[in-house]
Amino acid sequence: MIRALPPILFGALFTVAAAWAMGAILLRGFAGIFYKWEARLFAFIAGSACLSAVVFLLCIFKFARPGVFLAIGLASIGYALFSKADRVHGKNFTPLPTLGRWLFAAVFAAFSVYYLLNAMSPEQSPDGVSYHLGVVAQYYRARGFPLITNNYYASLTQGIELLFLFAFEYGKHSAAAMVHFSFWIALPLMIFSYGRRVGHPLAGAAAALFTALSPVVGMDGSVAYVDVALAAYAFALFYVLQIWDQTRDRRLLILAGLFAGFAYEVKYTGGVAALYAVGFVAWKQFRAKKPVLRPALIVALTAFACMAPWMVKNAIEVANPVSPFASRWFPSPYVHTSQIEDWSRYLRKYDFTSYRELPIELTVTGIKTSGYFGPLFLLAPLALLALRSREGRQVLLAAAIFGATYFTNIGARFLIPVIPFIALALALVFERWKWLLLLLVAGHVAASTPFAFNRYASGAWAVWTVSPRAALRLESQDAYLTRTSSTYPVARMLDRLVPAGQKVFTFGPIAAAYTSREILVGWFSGPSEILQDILWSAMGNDQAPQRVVKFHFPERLIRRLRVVETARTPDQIWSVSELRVLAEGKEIPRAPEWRLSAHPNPWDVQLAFDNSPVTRWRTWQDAGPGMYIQIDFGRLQAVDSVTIETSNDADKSSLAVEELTNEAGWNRINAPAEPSESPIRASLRRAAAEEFKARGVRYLLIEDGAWGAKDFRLYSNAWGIRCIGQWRDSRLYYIE
Amino acid sequence: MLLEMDQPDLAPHIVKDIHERYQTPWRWTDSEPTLNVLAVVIDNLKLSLEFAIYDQGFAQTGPLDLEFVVNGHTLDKVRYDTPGLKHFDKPVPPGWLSAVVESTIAIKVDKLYVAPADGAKFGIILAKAGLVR
Repeated sequence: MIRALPPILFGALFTVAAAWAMGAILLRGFAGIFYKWEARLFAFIAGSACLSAVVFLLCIFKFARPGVFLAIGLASIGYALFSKADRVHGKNFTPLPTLGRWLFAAVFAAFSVYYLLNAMSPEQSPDGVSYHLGVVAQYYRARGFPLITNNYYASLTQGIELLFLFAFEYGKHSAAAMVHFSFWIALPLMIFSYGRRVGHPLAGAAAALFTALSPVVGMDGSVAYVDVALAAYAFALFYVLQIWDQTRDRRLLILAGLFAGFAYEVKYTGGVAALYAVGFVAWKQFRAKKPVLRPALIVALTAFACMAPWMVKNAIEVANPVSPFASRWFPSPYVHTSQIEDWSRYLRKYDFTSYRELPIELTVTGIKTSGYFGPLFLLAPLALLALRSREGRQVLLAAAIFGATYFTNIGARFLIPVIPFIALALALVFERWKWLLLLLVAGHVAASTPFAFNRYASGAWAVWTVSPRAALRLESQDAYLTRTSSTYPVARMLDRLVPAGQKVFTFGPIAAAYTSREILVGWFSGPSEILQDILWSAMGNDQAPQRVVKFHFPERLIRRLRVVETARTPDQIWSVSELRVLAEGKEIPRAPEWRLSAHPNPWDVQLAFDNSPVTRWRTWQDAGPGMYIQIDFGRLQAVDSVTIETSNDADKSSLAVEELTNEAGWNRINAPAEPSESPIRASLRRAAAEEFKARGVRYLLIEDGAWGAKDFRLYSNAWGIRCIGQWRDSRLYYIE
Repeated sequence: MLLEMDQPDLAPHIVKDIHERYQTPWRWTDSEPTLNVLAVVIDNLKLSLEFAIYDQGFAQTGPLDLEFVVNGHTLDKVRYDTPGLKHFDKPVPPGWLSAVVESTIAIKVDKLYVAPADGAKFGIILAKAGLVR
């Protein structure tokens, strides 16, 4: 079993080495600017961005193969050695007192070993195995970028995930987590290094420990997430800008642009980095009465060069450069506006009733915020006292800028990029009372140990324990994850019971990184949400088409007809299960020459004309005036009635019928809406199952806690499904 | 769909007042045994019940009045003057039913038998219940 370890270590170390080598080669052109430690750290940070860009290119051309990666990595490392780029030039920092150096090293090393073991352990972080590595596993199988339109997480920028892919080729999931862990190492060392540069080594050391030891930072940084990497780029950018401010060396503007652009590549919220970098440079130049445009453009264009490929990729693949966001401006069938807006609304509030709970949650309890930073950060308001010094003002400015996006997602992870700045400001404030600062460090160290977690934050997202046996693969990954993970065995069950190439629908995310089957999560994409809606239409009183709205009027000849929404109905989506046009009491058969259209969501208009009671056209956003569903008959057609079959979850709609006339454009027909109930006379479950089959989906994975799970379990005959596998509370059904 | 009181997945159908089974194909009830069951269609369905009135209990309670309820609507009220096996079948108006969500069927028992040994209370002995064609 221990034979499983070398590929993991090789995958991680080879990735880090290749990145560092690329950065070292790049930084040869920056001689004389950096201290030695800075050069080493910036080489890794810059090189990771470069390696990610190389992997991006390889993925485009489906060259993401172990041999290609090996050649590129070896070439980078070889050239770095050959060109002596690995030999770091530059000044040394003023030596630190021996005791302080050893104390810092001892504490940092102890936590490093702990979190390294966690990174080496079989990966089972929720987002790591569902989408960070779920997407990476898809890239791995496709040898590059496959077209993924059924998972909007795949549209998020994936700069770090491409580094994960490089490592994944050799060491799979744990190797990827270890790559992220390398940023956990680099970040505090940068903070410490910055402190030494600006003459505050003690504050730097304290801030480094404040940051790295925070339970949520340790947790996040030792799994396949990306937040600590984002924090590393945010801090590296700040650091480089500060050096540029001291030196006005134009070469640093390229590096600043690279870091700012890559921050966006790591995570959308890192987009503020580009604004910060451009604004900082422009402002400093303006204040110094020097040319503003050229340096600002260097930063902006370099950053944009990093950001643009992801925008282009998304524009090509899912018709939205910033997918899944801004779906109102870039509508597409792949993401529903309501989906993203509901999700965003939740992320802004989680389960909080008031933001007043946030400080305690973020620092002490960490249940609702999925992690916490430690009680030390209750002192965060005191960091404002750092405004008295220039260094303090700079770090607080950066904290404000990188914290500006926090309220888009109030999870603790989203504050990680801000924490180094708050930590540094706090340390600068207390630096004048050395013993007090050391006391704070000691308190934070004690509070950040797993022994302390149980006392005050049980249940929070933190590394409670590590298993050296699992980390060293003395216990196999399969045995360990089967024993400890609730989602891994489900993923393995899918590989066992679902034939290759088949799709599995499920209501919630699973460990997609551990299965090669295509997983369709109900809320991960527009098409998957339609599948979910089909199921709910069959078993939900509000979703089933039990409501009919009829419009009757004197017979008239109409070429184009539409039903329009006339009122704004917040929190309600307008939907049409079937739209029927009648003359003399008989439905006019739908004809091939009919042209159907709708606004919004023109892609699904056919669902209102397919005679399927379980499918419906929906606006997928709050209904409002101007929305319509339209028929062009292709000729004049006698019509005297229109009926809309809809559902109770669209009962607030205020509808009208309009005809297009040559003289007056769209003319509203004077026909009041006549709503009525229309009970479903036979179960729609079998019809829903048939719709799934028609869409090529034959497998349902249902957790007992999911809405409707009981219905599938008790009435499988009505659905026409058969349970073919079960792991604890997850059941796999086959649609017969 | 007819629910048999010894079927293994009965528990999720039970809303209230139905006892655990003790190696018998039937179950004791309390005063208002209630079950959820899906009507796959709503037309031409009848409420169908197989139950028994315990003879010793009958000796204590005398005739029982049972009220049969579907989704809150009283389908029938019947007085049972004798103990023993009983069968109830009666068409349910389609308007009371749903093919989308489960229907709730209930039997209201007017008097409970109190076991002399331990004071435990019992209604009827239920064997099958459901909505069938």
